[in-house]
Amino acid sequence: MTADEVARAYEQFGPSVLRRCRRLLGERALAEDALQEVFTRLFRYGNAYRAADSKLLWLYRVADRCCFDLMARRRPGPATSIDPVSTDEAALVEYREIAQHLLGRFDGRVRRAAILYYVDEVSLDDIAREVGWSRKTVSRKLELLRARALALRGRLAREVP
Amino acid sequence: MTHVPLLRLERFVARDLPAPEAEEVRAHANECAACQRRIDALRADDEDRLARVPPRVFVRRLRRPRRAWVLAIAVAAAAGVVFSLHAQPTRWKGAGLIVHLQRDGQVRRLEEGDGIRAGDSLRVSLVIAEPTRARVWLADAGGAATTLADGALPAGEQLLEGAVTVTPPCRDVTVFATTAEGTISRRLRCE
Repeated sequence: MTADEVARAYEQFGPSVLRRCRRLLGERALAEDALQEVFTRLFRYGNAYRAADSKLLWLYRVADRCCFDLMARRRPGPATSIDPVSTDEAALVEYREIAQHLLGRFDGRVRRAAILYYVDEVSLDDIAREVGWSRKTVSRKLELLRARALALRGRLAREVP
Repeated sequence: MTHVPLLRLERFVARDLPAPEAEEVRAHANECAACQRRIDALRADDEDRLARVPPRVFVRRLRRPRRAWVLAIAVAAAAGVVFSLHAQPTRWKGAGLIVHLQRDGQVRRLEEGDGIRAGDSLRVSLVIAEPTRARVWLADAGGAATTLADGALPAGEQLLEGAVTVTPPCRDVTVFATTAEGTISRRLRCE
């Protein structure tokens, strides 16, 4: 892609991708690094971006990979500044912290399902369609994730139905 | 009332939803103050971000791949000569390369041969005695190159724009700076 095309992509989607990175990484400086990496990859993978039905979802997938790469090499510690979008999301902060510390240990589909559930607030039915599992399997996998999270981090308020 | 999931709101605000879905979100938000507030907050955050870091500024900071350099260095790496090009770390009078590493929130200065790991963030400064045109770039042992500066630079210590994150798999990296006087370099080895 040309610099102008990347600039247009950033103008339309950059702030949203940055929020995504902040939610996953919890640190502004790291999120900025991830954002730069995402848009740097546009220079190389412009054709795949152009072909994507949803440009934002394509960028989110790249952002997730960049964030997990960064997360995998970050020393474990308390997450900060997760930036919930609204005040009634405060309860989600705990889940997002857990996501940051645990998701790197699960395989790609569990990770994807957990991000959709805990970060993107997508319903179990929609997650099942997205990852190609039954609703029951998605629920079971998230329960497993939650059980491991409980073992490490304590109580979770939101039950997986 | 079931609220619109965050992912859908983000796509709505970014104009990434197909028209019928966007219309559904719009209709819901007209009836749902909570979702409308979230949409407003996302739009305000968008505006704030783009005001602070406009697209042209953001793109200038990116480590854009330079095809010619990538090709040249890949060829050189294949021939096994890349890391023999920089036997003299400092050759210009009064000039030098300074590389800082950030790891786990700690920043330290790297010397020739110091170790780096995947996930480290590198910032490069070039010290020059007189204003000059300079090209500063970073090459890894896999043949990938990143240009950090290419143009006229004033005298003194110049902190170059953009942090470079060492991505896996970690490889030895060399930072080069070239002017009419020649080339200096700083080699960093993968731990």
